[in-house]
Amino acid sequence: MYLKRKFTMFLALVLCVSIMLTTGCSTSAVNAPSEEMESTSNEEVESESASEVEEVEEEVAPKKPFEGVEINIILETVPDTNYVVELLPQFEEETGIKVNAEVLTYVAMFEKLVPQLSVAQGQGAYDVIVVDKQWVGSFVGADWLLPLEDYIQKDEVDTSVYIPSLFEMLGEVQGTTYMLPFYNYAMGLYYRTDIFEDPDLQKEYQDEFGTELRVPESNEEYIQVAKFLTRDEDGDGEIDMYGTSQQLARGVGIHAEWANLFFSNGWYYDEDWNATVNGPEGVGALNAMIELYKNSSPEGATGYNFDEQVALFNEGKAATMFSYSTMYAPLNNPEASSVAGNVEFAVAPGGHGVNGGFGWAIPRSAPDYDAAWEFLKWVESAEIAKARAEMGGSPSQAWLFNEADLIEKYPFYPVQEQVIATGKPVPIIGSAAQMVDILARELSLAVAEGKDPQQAMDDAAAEMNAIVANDPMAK
Amino acid sequence: MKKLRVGAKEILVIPAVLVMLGVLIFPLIFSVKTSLYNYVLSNPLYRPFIGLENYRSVLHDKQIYNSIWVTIKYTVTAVTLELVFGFILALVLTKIKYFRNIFLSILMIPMMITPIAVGLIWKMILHPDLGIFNYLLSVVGLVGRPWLGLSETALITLILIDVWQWTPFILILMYAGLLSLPQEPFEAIELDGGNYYQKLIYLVFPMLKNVILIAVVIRIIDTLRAYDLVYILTRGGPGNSTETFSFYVFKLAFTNLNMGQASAASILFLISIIFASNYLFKMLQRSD
Repeated sequence: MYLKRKFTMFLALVLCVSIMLTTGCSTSAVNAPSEEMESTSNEEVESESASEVEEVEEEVAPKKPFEGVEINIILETVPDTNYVVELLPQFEEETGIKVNAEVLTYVAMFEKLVPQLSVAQGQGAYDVIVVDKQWVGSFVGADWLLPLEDYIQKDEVDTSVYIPSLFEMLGEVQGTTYMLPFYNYAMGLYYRTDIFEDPDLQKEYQDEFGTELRVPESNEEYIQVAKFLTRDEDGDGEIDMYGTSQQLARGVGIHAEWANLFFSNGWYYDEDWNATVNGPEGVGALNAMIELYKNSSPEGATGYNFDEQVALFNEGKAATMFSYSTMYAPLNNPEASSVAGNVEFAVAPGGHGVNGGFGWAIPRSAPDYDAAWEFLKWVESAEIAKARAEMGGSPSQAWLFNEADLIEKYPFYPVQEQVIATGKPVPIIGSAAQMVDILARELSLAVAEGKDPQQAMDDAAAEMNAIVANDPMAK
Repeated sequence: MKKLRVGAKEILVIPAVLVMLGVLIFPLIFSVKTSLYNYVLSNPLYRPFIGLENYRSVLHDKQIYNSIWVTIKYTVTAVTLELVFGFILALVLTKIKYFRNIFLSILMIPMMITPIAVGLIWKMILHPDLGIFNYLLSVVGLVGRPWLGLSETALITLILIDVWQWTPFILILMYAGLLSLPQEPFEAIELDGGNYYQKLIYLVFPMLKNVILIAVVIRIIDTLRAYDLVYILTRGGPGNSTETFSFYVFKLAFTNLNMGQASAASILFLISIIFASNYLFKMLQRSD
């Protein structure tokens, strides 16, 4: 009896709430019958005229092949992304596909991508993604990327236009093409031409070392030159010109700083996948990086990421800097840089820098493969690739480096081509990101906390051996 | 046996319970299950059951012990400073006669900013060359340092930023507690000739014990999960001087893509938080 009474009260409460909610919804319909009838008849007239106009328009202009389709792409916050985004209206005009471009920082992009890539086909948020060189192994190993062979053959896309080293890194993996290279960010040495060509500094260097002051061609020479150029210029007791600007915060930056020195004569693994970073080359590169930090770089460099490093150079407070090929245009932009016009680019002192770049890919989880491929075809077409290069983009197609008008506009193209050709990539393994993280941690411990460099690299090598032991891509 | 009476109030609570089960319990069970498998995102075809192997791997990883130690240092220092500053500010606030609410509103501002925004703001303030903090130090003749770039200063810098943001939380709890204290004991102690410090020690602290304990429990649970500031400002560096446990688990999941190990580490962490908070709540009950 008690339960029955309580249940009845509950039903009454539910009924009251339902009546209250539905009463609100019906009010507007009840209040406006006459207005509805009038507006309906007006709408009928207007819609008849509109449909007639639409029919005429359809007869005049053919329907775009992908009219009404929308795709989502994810990109990194770099200059090359800006150039693509600027050209998107042209793509929409030609194909009817509306592109929603999501632009994120490097770190944020990876964390957003991973959950989206691991879902089933059609359930991912992105139709087109960009893949960094050190994600290639894990994305391919996880079978997250759609092979593009069928599309390439169907539309007779010529992949030989790409720079071979870039296509090996960001195109074909173990015999299957998964990506089309988007842009390169091979690393080299930026230097201040006004400093290196200063006659007073040249004489001073010649008097002190007996050799000419030049863009360094070995790690040892780099350490010497950077130390020489570090000075107090205005006599206030504080250094205001540093020989180098480094990014030594724990992360991909400190790994790149070390690798640009290491690649002069070393690589991560031997042919049997035994880590070699704790050999003389790896430890020597770490010692060189520490020397540069102690003698030629601000104390705060251990907290510098990419932005802080570039800011120091942009303000004219550093003579050299390892950085990406994409930075040539921004560093020479008078609106953004106080050293514009006095910056040139060279191969890393050891002869080999870090090769890098991003590639376009279609994830297996993409909702619309065909529309995604249309975008890839368009953005890597000769016309658009050249348009991007003209805007300042970093080319991935070899023929662009031979275009006379581009060379005239960007005289550093021959150097950039050489930097890419001599660059070394990270290994294409599933655990590449983990390998970089291990190295970044040990390098940071050595630079910022004084850990013994040999011990640091020994510890890194031990972990690097462990992670490739079960890596299916490390064969 | 007593008959179970199910009334309308029990029935009405069912939807909330179901939501809690879905949002809280199911992910927890899924996480425990994941921790028992070799679950690496980049190797989807190979996910065997491996029992407690993930727990063994995590406990054998040297990095976890560093992250636990960093987290303990972070928690103890941050909560202690927040308690001290929050209490002092609450005392001062109770003494202010005019515009008290305005002062309180201003003091609440840091707590209302999202942690990510706090990290970005302080990143700019603490920039070694362009930040205003080092500039102000130079104005008064002190030397600015790269506070986030040196291993000896990075952790304490993060702690002080946390203190800046969350002291208002302690402040508001203490302030409410102080306002609710009865006045008669204070009048009595004044009649007996007690001074200000005796009032604090013999009246205020004992009467505020429960409020203090609640504040400490909540802040300990929060600081044990410290992640946002580390992610924005230091990424665990320099070296591994600021790698908290949460950031360590994040790296397991999103750098190593090893969800099995990340889940195992999370479960271990959850168990330790349950023990810690259980102990603190028992202290709270005993004080009642």
